[in-house]
Amino acid sequence: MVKIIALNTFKQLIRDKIAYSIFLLLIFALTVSYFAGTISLNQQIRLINSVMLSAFMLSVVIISLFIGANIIERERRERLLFFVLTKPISKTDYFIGKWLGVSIVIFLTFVLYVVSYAILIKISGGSINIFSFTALAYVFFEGILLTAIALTLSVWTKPILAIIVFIMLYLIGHSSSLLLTIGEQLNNFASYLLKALYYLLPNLEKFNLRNDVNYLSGYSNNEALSVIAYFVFYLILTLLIGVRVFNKRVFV
Amino acid sequence: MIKVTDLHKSFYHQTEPQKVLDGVNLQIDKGDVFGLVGQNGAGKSTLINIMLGLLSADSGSVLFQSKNSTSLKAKQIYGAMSEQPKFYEQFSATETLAFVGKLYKINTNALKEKIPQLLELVDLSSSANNKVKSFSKGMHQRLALACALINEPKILILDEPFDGLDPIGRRLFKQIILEQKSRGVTIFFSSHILSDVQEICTKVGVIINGKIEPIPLSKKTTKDELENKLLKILNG
Amino acid sequence: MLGCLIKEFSFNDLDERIKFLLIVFFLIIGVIYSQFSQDSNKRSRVYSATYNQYIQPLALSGEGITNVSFGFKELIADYYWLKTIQYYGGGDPNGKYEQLPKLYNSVLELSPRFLSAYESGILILGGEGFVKDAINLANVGQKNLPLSWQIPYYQGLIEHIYNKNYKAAANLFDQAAKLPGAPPNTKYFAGIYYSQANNPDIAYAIFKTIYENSTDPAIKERAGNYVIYLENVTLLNKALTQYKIKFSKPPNSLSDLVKQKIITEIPQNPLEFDYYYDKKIGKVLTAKPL
Repeated sequence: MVKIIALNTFKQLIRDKIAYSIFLLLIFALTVSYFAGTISLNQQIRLINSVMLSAFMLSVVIISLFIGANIIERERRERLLFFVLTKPISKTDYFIGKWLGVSIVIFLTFVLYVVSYAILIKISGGSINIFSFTALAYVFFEGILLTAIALTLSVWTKPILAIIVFIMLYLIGHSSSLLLTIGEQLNNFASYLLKALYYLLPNLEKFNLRNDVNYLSGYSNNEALSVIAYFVFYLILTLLIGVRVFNKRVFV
Repeated sequence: MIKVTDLHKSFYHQTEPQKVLDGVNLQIDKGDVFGLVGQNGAGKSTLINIMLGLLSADSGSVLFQSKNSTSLKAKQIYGAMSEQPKFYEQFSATETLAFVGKLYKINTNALKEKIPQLLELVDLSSSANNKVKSFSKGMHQRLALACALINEPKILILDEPFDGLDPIGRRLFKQIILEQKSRGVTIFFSSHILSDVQEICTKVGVIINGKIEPIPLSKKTTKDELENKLLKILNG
Repeated sequence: MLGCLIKEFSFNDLDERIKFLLIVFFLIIGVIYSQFSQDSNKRSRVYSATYNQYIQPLALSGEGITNVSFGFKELIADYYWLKTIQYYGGGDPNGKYEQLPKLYNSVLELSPRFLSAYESGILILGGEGFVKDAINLANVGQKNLPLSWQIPYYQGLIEHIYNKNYKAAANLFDQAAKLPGAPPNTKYFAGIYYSQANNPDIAYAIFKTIYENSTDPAIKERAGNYVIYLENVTLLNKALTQYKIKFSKPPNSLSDLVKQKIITEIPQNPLEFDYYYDKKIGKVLTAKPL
């Protein structure tokens, strides 16, 4: 059932206008990377890395925010939930299927970026940098997780609040080391609170290899495994909470 | 076949709870066509939403063939049509039916035969590959009925099925409902068009003050007689 | 017995809510552990040889940031403020904190009325050897917050501690004392600095005023002691002038004034230090020269 909902969601999104905007962004990123690289005093590879990684990150945020935070709410508003939930499908399967459908769109975007990036690097005379692909993969993980977070927020509260909380979590997630630093400098209850927030709020910087891609020459497997483990645990936790909230809510 | 026992439901507004269903009891036997009538806001759609598991009741139960109506097993045996049905606009009628068919775990080959048959039945063959976005209200209704019939249900739950249909559409729907009735399908529908109710129903009930009052009905009951009985109940 | 207990226990029998909470609990443990793990494994990253792992934070120009702040200037100032604290608190392995002046400037260009930043900036920059930057910051602060006594007060401290410029310190404390809300002892400190700056006349006038007007007994007593001290210094210098006229040269020490009966005794200094007698110029100074 999850597969059916996921494929249906995927088809739905591909036919939606937002898919075009993601594609346009890719074209724009490719163009900018290539032409800006030619006037960058031999810094083409550096420019390609930063532009392509940033464009992919932006695409992923657009997908998770505008699609993930809206998809179930839109179906509720348009009474499509009646259409689907009166069929022999559980709410859990529906929720996971929706998440998976959006994730397939992100995966497709990831594949497009990987292929485009590889071709662009070859054209520019560079060699394939494993760390760039790792960075792209991490953005993909971040996107999947952000989608799960957006979906969970969308079934928990009103759309506008879901978007606001999502943006806050995104910003905090990319500055959470500040919480730890400040927490370590305090000596009271606030210190524990800040450290707890650091560990419990989504720490999206874990998936950020973008700033190091141009400088890395060694990256341990242990670190990679930690990142993947973090992604898996946090994703399951988010989906579990989302499913529970969705099961409890009334949608008519 | 359909058994509703002591169903209660209140909605909570700012100050006081508003009791919509206050001990609804209903039993519809196999092969019966039950028409539920009532004023706007009486609770018809609330009852249907609870029967279909979209709303939870405060207390009471709804059973379809002795199965809890919200269970997946129950969902396998009924087909439902909502008031003002909606579909994924980017898909065609064929794709919509295919999606629904897969949810009922009907295999692809069987669907290849079934879908054209259903579209033919509801007179949508010419629009099979058109996107739902381009459909009129009546076409939406027909597609919804086709979706409700795809799994050859034993129970049909229809919320205002004749709403928005032209006279030809209404006649088509009545034919389909009567045909399903002849196959032994138990049908429950809500409507405020008494002539439709009088024509096809074997039993009629009116929802008033949160309860269902039966209206005695025989094959000879005319529409005017039905209307008088209804008014008598509504006016107390 | 343990085996029986394990056999008896079945996860499926647990209440659904408890099951859910247990699963959530273990997932949270997993989340926290994997974060710890990544945080420690991050240190094993290898960078190409020319890359300095310790990166100085970048301080952008306030004007530049203002142009893209979209109305969030104060928020960005706060961000830079936290960054500055983090930078200073986090420790620079080179020990130089080279970006500190620029970071403070960034904060204060965005938020020119941020008094605490001026206060901490003046003291911290001074303490870390960026005395000129501290003084520049203070000058900017005085322009932006002309009624804040804290800025000239702190600047005065910097002039005293790091530049040993007692005259400048005295002027600044005097300035601070005239501003609303200045602590009552500010004028007192100005007096001390004038005294240290070998401006005994100004110092005497300040301390006399404080002595006559102060309602704080401790300050009154202290000021009184300075008044007596400065009167004694004046007396000793007059005696030294007499000695020089008589003997055409200054005495070797102040006790010569008593020996030669110019004065009957060296007046006792109510402050806890000896009079500083400069033999070369034959004068009692109120502070040792730099």
